[in-house]
Amino acid sequence: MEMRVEAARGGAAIVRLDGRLDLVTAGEAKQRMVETVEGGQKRLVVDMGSVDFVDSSGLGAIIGVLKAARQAGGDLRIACPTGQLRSILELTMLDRVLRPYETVEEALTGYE
Amino acid sequence: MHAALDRAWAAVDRLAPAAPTSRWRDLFRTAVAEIAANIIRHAYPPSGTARPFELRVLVYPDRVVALFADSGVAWEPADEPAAPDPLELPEGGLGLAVARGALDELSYRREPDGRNVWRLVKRFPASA
Repeated sequence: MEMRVEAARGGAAIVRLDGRLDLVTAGEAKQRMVETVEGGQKRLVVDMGSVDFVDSSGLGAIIGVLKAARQAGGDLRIACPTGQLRSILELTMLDRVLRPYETVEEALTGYE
Repeated sequence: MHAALDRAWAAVDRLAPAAPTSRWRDLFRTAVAEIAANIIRHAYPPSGTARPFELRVLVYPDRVVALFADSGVAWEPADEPAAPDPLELPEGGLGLAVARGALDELSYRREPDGRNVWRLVKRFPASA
């Protein structure tokens, strides 16, 4: 699992993940994203386009970061869902609370 | 585990009446990963480093079956958390619900020899 954080306009940060977000990698990914939030970047867009597999541990990590961001007065949006991510969001019914944006551009729109 | 599934897809492509969609494959892969994670998390003591399990994927003309066997502690059905409310933003406890939702059948058996066996079944979609 690779992770890069880029500053975007309007103060949001784009987190680009690459690889599998699962039992093995979820803990570290969550910790690094929470550190990003604690470092002052409270509004995150997580680009999931290069994540080839997400399990429930991976979703749990995203939810954990979402909570941390909201507690800090920010938020988290996910963008570029793969088919597999859509499937697991539906199975957990988390698509109701974590509705993916088609592109990073759309996720950044109106994200102030 | 992912590599074993990739090999199974070749057999699936030969035997399935119609090539299963990528969504069908994603669902089965997701269920297999959740059961593997469940074994790694719950069947072995947290201190142990090696958490061996065996995975066999059987492809039939109408379905694919995954069998997991491990020699860890027995799974207690009572350990399964109630399906969490998505609006409460659960961070854990989703695995078995995900697997069940992705499959046609999910069953667990404790063998007399002390092995745990999980059986996952997903039928191929009816051919068009």
